[in-house]
Amino acid sequence: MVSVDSRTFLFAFVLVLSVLFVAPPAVAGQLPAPTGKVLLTVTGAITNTTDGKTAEFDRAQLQALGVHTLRTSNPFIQGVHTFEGVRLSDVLNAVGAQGTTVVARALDGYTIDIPIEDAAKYQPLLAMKMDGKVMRVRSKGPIWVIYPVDHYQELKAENFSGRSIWQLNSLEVR
Amino acid sequence: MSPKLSSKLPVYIFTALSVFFLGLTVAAFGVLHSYQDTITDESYDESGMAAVQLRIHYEALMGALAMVELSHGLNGVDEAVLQFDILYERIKALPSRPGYEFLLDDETLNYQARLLNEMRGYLPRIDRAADGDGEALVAMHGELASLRPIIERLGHRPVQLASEIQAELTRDFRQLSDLFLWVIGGFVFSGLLFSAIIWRQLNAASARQVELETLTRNLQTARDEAEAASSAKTDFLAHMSHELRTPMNSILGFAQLLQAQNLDGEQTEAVDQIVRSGGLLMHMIDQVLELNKIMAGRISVSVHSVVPADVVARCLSLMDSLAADRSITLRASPSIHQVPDLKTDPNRLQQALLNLMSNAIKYNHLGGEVTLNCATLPDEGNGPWLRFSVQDTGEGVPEGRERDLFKPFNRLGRETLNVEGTGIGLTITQELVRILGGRIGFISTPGHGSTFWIDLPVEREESLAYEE
Repeated sequence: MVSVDSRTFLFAFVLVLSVLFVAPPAVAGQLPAPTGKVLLTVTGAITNTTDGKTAEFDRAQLQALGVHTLRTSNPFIQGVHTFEGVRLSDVLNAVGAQGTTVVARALDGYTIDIPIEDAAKYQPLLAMKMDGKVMRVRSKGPIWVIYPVDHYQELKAENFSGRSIWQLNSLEVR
Repeated sequence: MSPKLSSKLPVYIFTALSVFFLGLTVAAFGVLHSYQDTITDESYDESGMAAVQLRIHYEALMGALAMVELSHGLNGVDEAVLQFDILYERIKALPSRPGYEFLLDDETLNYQARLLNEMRGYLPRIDRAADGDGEALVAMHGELASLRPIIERLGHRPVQLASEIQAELTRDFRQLSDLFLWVIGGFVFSGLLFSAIIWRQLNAASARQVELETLTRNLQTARDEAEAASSAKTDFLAHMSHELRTPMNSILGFAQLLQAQNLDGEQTEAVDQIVRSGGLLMHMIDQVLELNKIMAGRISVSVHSVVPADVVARCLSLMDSLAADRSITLRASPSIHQVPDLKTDPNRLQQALLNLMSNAIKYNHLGGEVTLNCATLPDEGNGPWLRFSVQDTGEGVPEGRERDLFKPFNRLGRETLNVEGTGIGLTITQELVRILGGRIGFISTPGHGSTFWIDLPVEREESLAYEE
């Protein structure tokens, strides 16, 4: 029995060592904890977290990922507007997303699956401002996923309209 | 398996398969029909979802406001602000939601506008609460209670519209499936009708076949009976003729013995008459017997190479005395030496020629002539043929009686003449020629005589051999 136990310990020790030295250092990362009001919570198959399970972002942390602007029309409001926010791809990179699908959830309970390849292909924006004004919950805030509808013809299809989720507050990577 | 069943087998299979597949289709539509209520209910739920959620967020807002009121602006403020904004945004965005464009009529849009207008009035206080002034929301629970009927109507109306649209769709679906059922019913009916028609046709056909088979069997039976009767008659005649010969031989024998006795003139004449009549009767018996033998297929054919001139010469010498009795000159045409030899049965040929010569002598004028000839016929594509002919100088065949000439026991009115004969000589001759694979015929000039001829192939093929 003793020999089995020691062998198990040795095996576990080697395993831990190999994980520590073979795996890239960026895999298990610690993100800084938010100081302001949390706007976005990311869960699921991610490697970088704030508390070991989830990655939470306040407005300042999101803006730190790099603010981009996108001028486009949108199926839900009239006219062309300027949106400002961070790229979905930047957020997924920051949390070390490992899955194939991002399940997006809104404050009002609306849920939609976004294929992870959309992030690189269309660079959708997690918009926090519209026409220079911060979007409040009462006007589709705090975050509205905006696809560059005017730049790709296929984005006018209804399944992409459904992915343009507003009042977004959480992402789950699967 | 009986032939009747196997001929109907495709129909069995066709009918069974059609009924099976059509039954399957009907069953499938029946199942579809019964499932449509389930389908309807699911669609109804989805269409009602967004409207139902309005009330969920309204109740959440009211719950949070109640807490704010109870805690005098300390607890539930953030939740109330969040729920207010969610509700506000939801009402505002309702017309732009996918699928809701056609669920919102003017009445609903009117509710939506009123509700949005009412809620817009509360926005400054919500903003103050969001900035930390919880007191701003304390009285709001009671104030927002007045919105409940409008929220409920706004929630109810799209559901009602959705159910109306659903009912319409259901009605269309039902009509469509009813139509399908009718169409399939029509297919089944016509298929069964078609099968029934084919079934009847096949039944009628097999009935006809049975009828035909019965008829054929009856005909065969009748033919067998007729053949048996004919055979019995032939046997009877053969036996009778044979039995007649024995007493005839003794009559003739004793009559000839009497002739050798010393008899007076009257007695001699009577005995001569007996011998002459007896001889004639014996000849008749012989001929009937011969005909029966031929008819019964009991004569044999022995084929040899035959020199026509020899046969003719033999016939002339055999008929010499008979011709002399009637002072008739027998002659042979010189051309008999210029024809090739032929393969045939010399005895049967001689028998046939003697019959013709006998007639030529008997039915000739006293002192007439009978000429035998043999010549090569022009080739008709079936090899060389020879024609033997017997020409007389008699009265010829009476006009209109040519067809009766070869019928047995028909003497064409010569019975009244003083000519001995049985009337079956030509019938026997015709049969003999047939056995030899040849043809028989005649050319007649009434008052000037007739020529009977026999055509025979030079090379008699074995396949023509007489077999019966």
